Amino acid sequence: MYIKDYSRRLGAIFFCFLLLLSLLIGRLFYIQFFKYAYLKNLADKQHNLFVELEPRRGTIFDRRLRPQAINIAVDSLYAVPKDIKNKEEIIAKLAALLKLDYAYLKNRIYRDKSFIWIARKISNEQVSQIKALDCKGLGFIKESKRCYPNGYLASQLMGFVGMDNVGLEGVELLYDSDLKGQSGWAVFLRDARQKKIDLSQGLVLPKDGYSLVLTIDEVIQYIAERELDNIYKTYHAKQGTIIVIDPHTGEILALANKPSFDLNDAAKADPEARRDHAVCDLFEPGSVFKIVTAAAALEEGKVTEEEKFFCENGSYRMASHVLHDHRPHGWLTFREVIQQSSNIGTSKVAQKLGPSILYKYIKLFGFGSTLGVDLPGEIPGMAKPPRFWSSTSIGAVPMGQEVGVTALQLAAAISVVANGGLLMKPYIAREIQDKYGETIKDFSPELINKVISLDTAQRLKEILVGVTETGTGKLAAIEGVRVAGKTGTAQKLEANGAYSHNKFVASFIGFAPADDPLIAVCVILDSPHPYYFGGVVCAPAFKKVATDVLKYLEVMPLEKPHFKENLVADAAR
Amino acid sequence: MRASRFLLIIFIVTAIALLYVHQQSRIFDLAYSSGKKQAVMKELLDTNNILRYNLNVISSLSYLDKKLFSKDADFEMPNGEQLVRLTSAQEQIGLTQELKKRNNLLAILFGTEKQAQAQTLNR
Repeated sequence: MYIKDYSRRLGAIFFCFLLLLSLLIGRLFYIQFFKYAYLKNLADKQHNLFVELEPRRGTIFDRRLRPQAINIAVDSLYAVPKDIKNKEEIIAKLAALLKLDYAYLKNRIYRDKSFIWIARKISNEQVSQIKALDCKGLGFIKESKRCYPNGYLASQLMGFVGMDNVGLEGVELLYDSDLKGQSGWAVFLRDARQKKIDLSQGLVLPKDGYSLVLTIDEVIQYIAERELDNIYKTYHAKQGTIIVIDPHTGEILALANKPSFDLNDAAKADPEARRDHAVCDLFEPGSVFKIVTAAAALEEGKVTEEEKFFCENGSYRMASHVLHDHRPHGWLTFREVIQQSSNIGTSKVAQKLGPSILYKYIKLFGFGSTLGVDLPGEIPGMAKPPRFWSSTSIGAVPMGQEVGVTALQLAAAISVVANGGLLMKPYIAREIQDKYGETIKDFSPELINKVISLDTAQRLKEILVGVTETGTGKLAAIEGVRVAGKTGTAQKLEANGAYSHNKFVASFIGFAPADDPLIAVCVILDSPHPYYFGGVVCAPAFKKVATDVLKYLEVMPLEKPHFKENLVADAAR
Repeated sequence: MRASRFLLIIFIVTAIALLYVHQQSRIFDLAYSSGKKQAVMKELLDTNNILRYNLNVISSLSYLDKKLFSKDADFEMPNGEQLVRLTSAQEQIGLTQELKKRNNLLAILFGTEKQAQAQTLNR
């Protein structure tokens, strides 16, 4: 009996253990086969730290490799709300240090989250002041910030990036895909205190963005900005633009707009100041457009330089409108018509040409269509086909009314005369380089079309030299250098469609030296006062820009880009 | 005999296990120390970058314009003949080396230090 009892007890214990073992095996089986993914995920989260490796955004250089946009590492402030003990005190101190709204900070710090941004990309002074608070629950993370050493220089052209280093305007936007690079990632081990250990479980290195070399020259850009700022302030203008271009290649050497903004504080800039007026705004060009009429008339053989036109002593009825010259003229040669900028003489030249031929040359000069410049927001301007012209259009269009152009189109048009008749595509990116300075992509000059013959260009050039020697653009003349150019003063349209008598767009387009042009310059000033004539307001600015740029180029000549092989053949065709 | 072999195996296994643990702890030690050094290096590189940026800002034309031209100083772009070209340090080094080479060449040709000597060939 005793033995039997003993055996039953043993059996019971064995059974209990067997049951426990079965339960354990069952549990293990369950964990291994049913909870595996969940538990592995949990363990990975505890042990591993996934880090996205930010690529370095490419640098933007000017044509002589002077940096225009670079990245520097700055601190961003974050908070772990539950770790902050004396929240009210910290909020008050942070609000004062970071110049942030108290309510905004309170709203963020009282959130039920384990991580919140307080302020991103803050200054070094602010960082040291916050570190001095010695507050648990506040921390810093290094982030890359886009910085522009030249501040205001070429602001609309350069554009800017957002908080996450994505291009939002200008070349920063257009070449964003090249500049931004590709993110990498790494999985690091973490210790028991959740601290990162430099032992990567997996690693894909980030691919840094390419650098962008622009065609602009920092010094030429500065000269253009300085002179534009000068006339913009002197004549209380609404806005203004100066473009300096290499007439042979179409490389934009400087593009300045006013008003402008500080690239390092783009968020606070007025949207109007961020607008690239040179390519985004159209205006009626006025008399500078006479170069198109003159080029067409010479190319088509309709006039000679010495052919005379009666300028009606300053008043000429054409259909329902009466044309006026700014000064009455009698008989003028064609050369003098352009040099004295006679509206009546020019309209008579245009009548000899006819609307369709004039329109053909307007299009050949690149007006009414985009030039394809690598800047965002370029507009085509406006050039109506002759079937939409009114009875007065043949008098208005040749002197730059009823057409809408951009400043860049005018710069490209005057380059046609300077380079012997070729319309070159203006461009801003010279090459794309990797971080070792090796060229990834090279941008070559591109021919859009051949507009006029070399002979016509030469003849027109001589007429335009006369503009600065004896005509309306005498203030653009440079001592010792032959300068060719054309002045323009266009009345602005009022809201009711009538031409204003007190709002004008003053302009001057020209190139120097006339015999072997190095630069073409376009100066536009919107609504200058009290003086508003292009020859008075813009011509002196042209002179100053051209004088300084030519002196600079004497010492630092431009390195010519590689031409595409077919460019000369294209030109010959 | 069996016990001694058993003890030996235990000893070897324990030694290997200890070595493994030691190796792992060293790996983590080095990882911590490498992390610290990398942080220092990154900090230095960042500082270097910031200093370079500051130099760029200070030498930028817009900054110089603010500092110099705002006081209506009568500055103007110099003419070519008003400029004196200075050779950079690198160019200077290149020039010195070039001169040394020339001197060596002259010394070889006309000097007395090194003279051409006929040598016998022992074959």
